[in-house]
Amino acid sequence: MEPPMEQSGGEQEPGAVSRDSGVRQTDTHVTASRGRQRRFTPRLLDLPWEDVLLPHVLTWVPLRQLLRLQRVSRAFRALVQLHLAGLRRFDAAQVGPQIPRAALARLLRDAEGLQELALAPCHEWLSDEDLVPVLARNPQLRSVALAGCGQLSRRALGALTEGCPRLQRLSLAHCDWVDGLALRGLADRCPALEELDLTACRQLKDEAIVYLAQRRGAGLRSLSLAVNANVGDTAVQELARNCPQLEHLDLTGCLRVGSDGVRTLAEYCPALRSLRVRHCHHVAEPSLSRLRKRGVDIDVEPPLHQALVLLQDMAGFVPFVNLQV
Amino acid sequence: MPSIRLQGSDGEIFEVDVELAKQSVTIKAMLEDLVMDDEGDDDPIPLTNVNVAILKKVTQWCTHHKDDPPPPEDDENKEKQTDDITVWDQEFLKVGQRTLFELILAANYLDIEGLLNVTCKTVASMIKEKTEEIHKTFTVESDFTEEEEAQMRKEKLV
Repeated sequence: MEPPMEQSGGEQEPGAVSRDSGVRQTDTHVTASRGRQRRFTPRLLDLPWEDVLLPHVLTWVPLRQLLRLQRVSRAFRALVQLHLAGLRRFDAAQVGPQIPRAALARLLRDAEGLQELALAPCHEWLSDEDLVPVLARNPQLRSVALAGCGQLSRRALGALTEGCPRLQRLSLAHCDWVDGLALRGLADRCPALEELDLTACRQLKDEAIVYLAQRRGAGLRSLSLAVNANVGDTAVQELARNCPQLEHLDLTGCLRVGSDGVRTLAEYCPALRSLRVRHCHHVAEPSLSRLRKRGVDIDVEPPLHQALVLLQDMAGFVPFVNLQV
Repeated sequence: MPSIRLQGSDGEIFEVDVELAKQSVTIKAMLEDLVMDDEGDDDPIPLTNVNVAILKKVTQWCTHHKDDPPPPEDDENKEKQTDDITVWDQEFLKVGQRTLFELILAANYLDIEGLLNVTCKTVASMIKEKTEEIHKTFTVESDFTEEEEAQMRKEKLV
């Protein structure tokens, strides 16, 4: 088979199963300090795990392929598990369109330093029991995406706000279990919150949004309240007054939002860069014009007539157009 | 051009230009120690973990890359690409696995970031391309039992 090898620069993880039989491992420096070193053939897993393989090799390999590596040999499996334990970002979409529940549990079993977690592909079955332990083990989480995870409850959100004080970005889009109480809990305990997606969280009413604005508005940069028929001008105005850093606001389909809300936004939000108001039938063009002039990206096209007036104002000249009205 | 002498693990002495050698953070630190010690600078620097054959390859790489700008900060959010290795580096690294791994070990020991980077990316590409043939590519044998194999097949993730 292979000749006995001496280790050079290789570090075997203490917990890992020993590799192919017949290989003795000796400490690099002990060997080297004794003088000349016998030449040996390093193989892939002889490369230092912590210094080389994990930080410089495995980081370039897509997660999906790394998982297949687990089946090569015990040593490979140990290596991949070490890699998984050290993951900073986990996006379930990288694994595949569907992940069995047991597989997700195994993948995340050892991770303790996650900063980003995206689980939308698991939305059909992800429950509190699946998620809460992961949140508890990963207090460094900054970004969590749970779009469509309809099986979760306030309990999961509680675990998140309790355990992850650095939370900056959270998506709860289409989580219709999110109610006023849940949102208030979020507003109370997430000091670093900057981006929040509450698309189609249909239970939310103005009061909860107002609470959020007053409690957390100072740091809020991006908010989506799209498809929330219960949200109206009161909420929007309170957001405007309390969110000086607001850059992106999505009010698509917020049927109760009207021109008053938008005007207040224009007055108060100097940092606003984009606004979505499609299907907000009560938002009239004049209220949007001030924002348009500032260069805010708005998803609704101005009527042609208004466009010409705008052009005049912005460019300082009357465009030569043959307008059939 | 001032040069220094390096002694490889096999005892052989190898002379190299000082500025080139300083691409190795390890050697650079050793040189600074030596200057401070003010000892006779004729003693070669012992590099017990690298043989001279590999040292020569490393020097070749360092020579070609001596005017490289410092690498950009590692951006974790950036898409991880392994296909941006220059043609010269690709040619340089068309070596057997043994030499490739020895280069990695040398780059790690000598702390030469650019060389470590490009050699590791090359290995990563090999893993990516040949995931199905890892056993063959890297001469590894499975040491799982039959039952374990069956279990893994059952739990097949992808």
